[in-house]
Amino acid sequence: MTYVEHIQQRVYANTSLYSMWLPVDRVSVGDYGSIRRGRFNREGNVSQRGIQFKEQVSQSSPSTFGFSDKAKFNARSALGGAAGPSIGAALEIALSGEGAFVYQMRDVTTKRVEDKASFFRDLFLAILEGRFRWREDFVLVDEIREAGSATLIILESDSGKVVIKGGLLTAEESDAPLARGEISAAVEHGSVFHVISQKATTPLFNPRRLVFGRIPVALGRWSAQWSIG
Amino acid sequence: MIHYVSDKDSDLIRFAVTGVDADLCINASRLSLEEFMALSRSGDAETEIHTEPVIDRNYVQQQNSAAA
Repeated sequence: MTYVEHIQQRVYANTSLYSMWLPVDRVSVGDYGSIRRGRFNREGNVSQRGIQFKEQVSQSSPSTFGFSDKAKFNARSALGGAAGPSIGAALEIALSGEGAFVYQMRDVTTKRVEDKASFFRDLFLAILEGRFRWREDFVLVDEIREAGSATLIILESDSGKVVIKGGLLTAEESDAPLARGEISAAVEHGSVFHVISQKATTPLFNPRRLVFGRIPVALGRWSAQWSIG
Repeated sequence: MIHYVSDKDSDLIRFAVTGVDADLCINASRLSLEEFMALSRSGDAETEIHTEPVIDRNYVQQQNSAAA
């Protein structure tokens, strides 16, 4: 499993959403494409195939997200000593073990298909009628999370240390301090991949795979019971 | 979860968004897209489409069990 897939599974376990790779790549509701080694390869948007839909937009609650694995935080004062729990001149992050990571995002907005029943009905009809040539490896995005800012740090070696400077840093991971304000990262040791984005990104999305099946037992004409919602 | 069922006796089709793991979906045997299209158009059997997450649900259950 790649580092990316490891992060994606950890994030999915907490959010039921898929994390975008690269984190600065963008994706929109209605996009479709394939996923290879954790990366979404966009082929297009269903609106280009005549499937129209409205987006429901809302502020996510919570509006900050923080994920980490095998990472320890330590706030530093301007003089180099330990700082209080709320404000530090720098935040030191010690990472241990390959694939250790910290991923934080702020000002998160949710966008999703407003009427999923109609949306999928139109999609399935287009596929069935041959108007939309679907591929079995395609996935469809019906929901995304946009973030105003995001920071991702991944350790590629056995151990590493990163010092974050700038912004108003706190040691409280849940407050997503690494995605707040103008910050910079300095790697003190170890092989570390990091992305700091201060512009809008789409760090999380919900790709759905279409599964096709045959119902083994005759249900009878319209015998299935449905619930919409 | 999104379901679609074709009615073999007419051109009508039904779609629905239902709860997770509806019996209909669990009991359905999977088809390739090509098989699905052929079967749906022939009307020889009832077919369905549903959606599922990309990440294996078993992994999530393992994680939840480990955390408990």
